[in-house]
Amino acid sequence: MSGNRSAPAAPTAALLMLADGRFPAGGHAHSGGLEAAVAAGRVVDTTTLEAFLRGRAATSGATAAAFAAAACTAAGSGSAKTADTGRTAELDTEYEARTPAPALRAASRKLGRQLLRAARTIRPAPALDALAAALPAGPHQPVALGTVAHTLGLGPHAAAAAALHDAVTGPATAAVRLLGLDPFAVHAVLARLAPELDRLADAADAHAAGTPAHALAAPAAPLLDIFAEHHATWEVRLFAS
Amino acid sequence: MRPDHDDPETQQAHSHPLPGRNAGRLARIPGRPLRIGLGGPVGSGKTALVAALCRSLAGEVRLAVVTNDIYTTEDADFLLRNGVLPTERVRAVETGCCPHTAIRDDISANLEAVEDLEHSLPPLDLVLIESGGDNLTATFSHGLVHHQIFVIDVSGGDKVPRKGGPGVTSSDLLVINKTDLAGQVNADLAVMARDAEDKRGDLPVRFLSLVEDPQAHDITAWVRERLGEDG
Amino acid sequence: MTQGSARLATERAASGAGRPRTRISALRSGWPLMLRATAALAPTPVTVWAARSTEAARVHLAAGAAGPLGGDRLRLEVHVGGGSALVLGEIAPTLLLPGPHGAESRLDVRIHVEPDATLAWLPELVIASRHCRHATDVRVVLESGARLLLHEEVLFGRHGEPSGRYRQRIRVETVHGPLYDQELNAGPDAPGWDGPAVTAGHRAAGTVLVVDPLPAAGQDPGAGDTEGGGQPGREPHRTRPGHAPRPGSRTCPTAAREPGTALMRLSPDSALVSALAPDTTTLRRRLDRAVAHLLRPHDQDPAAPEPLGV
Repeated sequence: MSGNRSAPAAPTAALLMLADGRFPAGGHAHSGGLEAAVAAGRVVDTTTLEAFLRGRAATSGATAAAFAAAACTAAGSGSAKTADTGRTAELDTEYEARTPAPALRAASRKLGRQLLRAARTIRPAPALDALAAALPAGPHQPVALGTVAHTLGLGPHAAAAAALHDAVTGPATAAVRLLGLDPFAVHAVLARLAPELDRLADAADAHAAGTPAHALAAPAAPLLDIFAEHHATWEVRLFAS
Repeated sequence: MRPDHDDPETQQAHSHPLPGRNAGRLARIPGRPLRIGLGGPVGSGKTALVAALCRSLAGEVRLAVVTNDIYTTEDADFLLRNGVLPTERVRAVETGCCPHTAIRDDISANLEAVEDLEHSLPPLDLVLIESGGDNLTATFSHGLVHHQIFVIDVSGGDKVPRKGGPGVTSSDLLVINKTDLAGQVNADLAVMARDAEDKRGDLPVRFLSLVEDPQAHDITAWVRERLGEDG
Repeated sequence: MTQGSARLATERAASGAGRPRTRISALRSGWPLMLRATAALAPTPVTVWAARSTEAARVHLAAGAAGPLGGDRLRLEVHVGGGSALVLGEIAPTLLLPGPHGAESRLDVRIHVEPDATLAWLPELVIASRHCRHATDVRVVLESGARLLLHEEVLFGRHGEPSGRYRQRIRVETVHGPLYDQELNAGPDAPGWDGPAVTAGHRAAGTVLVVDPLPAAGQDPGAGDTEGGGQPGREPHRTRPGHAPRPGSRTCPTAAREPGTALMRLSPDSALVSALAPDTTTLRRRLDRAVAHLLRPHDQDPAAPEPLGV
């Protein structure tokens, strides 16, 4: 039988929809620190963009992936109907501790609220209602992403992959808009980053279930924090973060 | 975070087959404000019209404004500087270089801003959502607004209505602004009115000169009618 | 390979009249981590802050050997007893060196600050020399009313050499849960660490974390409290009138004027200063300025802009 040839494929259509930059959850208005990096003269071309994205993926991307994966697993645990919101709230608190910049905390909660709002219309699910009830100020974006991924039938690895995809494609798109970079050259950068993103998604997946929330990854990106705080004080900016 | 489309009838409406003016109309939810979008090209006078509406509806309607300026707070600052609305009644939404995306393809930041205003200033009767200046193809999603006003001005030439585009053809109200300048730019208002009617059928068109009519009486009256409807 | 474990504890001394004092109740060095009780030197903003309600004990850490070297396992435990105050300094910078077999060196620091106690921990610069492989793991638990000032600086490689592998995790927990948890990764194993998202080639990085939940002495602790708490994602918390200066603010001039520095509020009672600089002198100046801003005397209007800029 053909079924013996390979394991059942992981769902992909829902992952592609969720990770698509056109998914209406407000990500298009965020540059992931790229606008400030451009203004500081730190990102000027595809070479500096690649270094920026590599660092972003390994720091805030890896943190987002770890928490998206863990939140996805938490949403699937507990009883059949109710997600493990205790664990989810703990993840949210731990993510907050890993996000020292108030501007980035605010951006993450805003994106989390927006994603949750979109998802509750697109695919209503008890886990989403439970998340909204557990975190009335809005969940952090990776926590929302992991929970939404679960309700779309995706697993922690997919949730982590979506988080990492978002972590690099947001700034990459912003670079095309802000610097007028050749979109082919920018996508060549993204293609080169792909193996690293897969490696980071594997690492996030490995800690999605058994690892206590306090022990999850916490890689720092001092410059992204500093950029975010400066950006938030600008009177004129094109991106929300 | 409250889903905006929780009404099953709204879901039905979204699958309306006609691409025309009533397709996917956003249903009014009792107790929540009417949302009117104002779109149109850069410099056509959207912000000045919003300011005029705020002034003429003040004391009568509890209203708030969401701006989508390309430069974040420029329009919001205009409204604040002119003393039209207090700070807490104006929210600016960043659009990441794509003002049309924020009002059409991905409306979540605007929905967030509306909900934020509703939460912080209950109750509200009306939220005006001003788009960032864009081009003739930019229109509001029916998921974001109940009605939309498209603002063009005579200085773009009297061909603009003929060029059409979804803003001109299907907005709920077309405003042709700055008619006091028509003579100076050789724009023929009669041509514009005729072309607009060709494109819009029985959808309304209003001429406006805020120099001559700072209260924008016609537009204010149209907004009042919308507020009076059950939705 | 060296294994050393040092332990330090303080307690509030029973005092008749006058200001309460701090007694060192345990001071156990573990070579090469040598602890020395030291006399108070000229007051600094930090020592004045630390001794706000209790005279602070002063201890310095002195390295009894070079390194840590690869393979070393070092541990420092600090227990600040209820109501006592401790200023823990260091005699000299730490030079992280590779060991003979490429093994990782480790420094684990466990800090417990009991209710209403104060710790100012001011380690000297850490230098991640070429080919070093080191991990520092700092865990701080703050009980109710505990105050903390934690200052750390790292230099990525000695002059003209690339950085070795360096990891430093700092985690601070309060009675409200985790407050801060960040791991800085530098060197060959950390993708993009010297790129424009992380350090942008700056050779020096540092942070100062301040937790200070106490209102200033003699001031009304309740007046004008407008802070929501539990409303992350909303407007930043505002300074409470009648309180000690709350650490950090989005509008702080430090953030606006210093290119490589940000002063970030972590909670209503805590703030982080994060700075990057091309050299350690500039780094120290940026951090010191921000700390002076955070710890400035409480009789100044907390909302008044501070002339921090150059």
